[in-house]
Amino acid sequence: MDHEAAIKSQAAERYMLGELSMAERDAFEEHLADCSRCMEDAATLDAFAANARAEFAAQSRPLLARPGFRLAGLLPRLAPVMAFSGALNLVLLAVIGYGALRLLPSMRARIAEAGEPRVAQLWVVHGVSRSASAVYTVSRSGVQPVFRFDLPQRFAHYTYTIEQRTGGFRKTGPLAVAAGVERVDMTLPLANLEPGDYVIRIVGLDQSQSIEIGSWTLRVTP
Amino acid sequence: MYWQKFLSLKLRSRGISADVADDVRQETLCRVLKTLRQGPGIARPESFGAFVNSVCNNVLLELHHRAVRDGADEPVPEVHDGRMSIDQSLIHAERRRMVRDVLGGLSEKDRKILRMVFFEDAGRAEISRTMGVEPEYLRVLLHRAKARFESAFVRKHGRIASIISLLCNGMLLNATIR
Repeated sequence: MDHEAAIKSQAAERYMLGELSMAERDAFEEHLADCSRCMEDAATLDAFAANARAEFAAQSRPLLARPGFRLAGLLPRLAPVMAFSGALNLVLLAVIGYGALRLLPSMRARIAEAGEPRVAQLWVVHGVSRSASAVYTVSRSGVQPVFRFDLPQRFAHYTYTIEQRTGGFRKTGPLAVAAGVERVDMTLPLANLEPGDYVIRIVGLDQSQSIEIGSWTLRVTP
Repeated sequence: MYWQKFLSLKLRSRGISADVADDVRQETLCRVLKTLRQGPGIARPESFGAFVNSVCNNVLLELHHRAVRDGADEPVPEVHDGRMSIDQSLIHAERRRMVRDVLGGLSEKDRKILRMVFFEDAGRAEISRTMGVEPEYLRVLLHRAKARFESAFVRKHGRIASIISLLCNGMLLNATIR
């Protein structure tokens, strides 16, 4: 790959996004080793990606916990908005209350059922399994699984990822963990998971690092 | 520094964990230096980059073979499995401010796309489906964001200092930035 081809095909951006085939990637790396301009592009993208991730992680923190947040200065400006929001909430509450009590009697039965004690199956995940080799088999029609794992180190945020081994399904998001907790029991609804193998990953994030706390394989049977 | 950066990028693009990548990088540089000092040297200086790249490929190949032979749980991946992982040493307060400005100048939709790429680690297909954009749009968006970030960096530090900082993971400019 020469410089013109690399620029024309936006190879540095595709390299960062993982869009290059193995052959293209090898060709681009050969070029990258000799081309300081492309190396500069890749380094800029690398720095942008790292800091964008840190910035998004910070933005997902609660507003009050963000550095520089001043509640006192915001209150006068927020007062009309809060009053309007409060009134809207009252109307919403009235509509929902009417619907729940008068129009949806079946909802009561479901709520009562959900309030009944249920059996769950507890799996204890031992430490970090780097290859997700630990396999836990659960049935979709069986009891709900609960995974217990230790938090060896305190992080500002935690994220989970559920990824089907054969591709197709992937879900990721924040995992709410209370402050000071050293052990977590995580329930996993099976309703959206088709039978198959899934890799579950838990990652701890803060401003300076992201570390995988645990990963394991969940085998869902019909 | 340049070669450290190059090897870091190369190894992270293969999804290799930080500790293994560190070993591979050190081994590669060690072999290169040994060849230069004790071996036949490099016949054509213009091929030095290709030489470093091929030494790294050899080290990776050996590592992969060893992992397969030893039946390790986690063989070094040969196949690129998605986006590059993130090097935490690249994160600095000054850069984050610049990135915040760049992100602030984007539309809500574009910010959400970049969030999905870098924070939620969503795949291209999922982003395209969820956000209703073509896969090509991702790299156009990334290209524009990178250009703005680069401009902000150059405005702040000048061209040469920016290049040095970016290629050396900011180590030389940290003292002035912080």
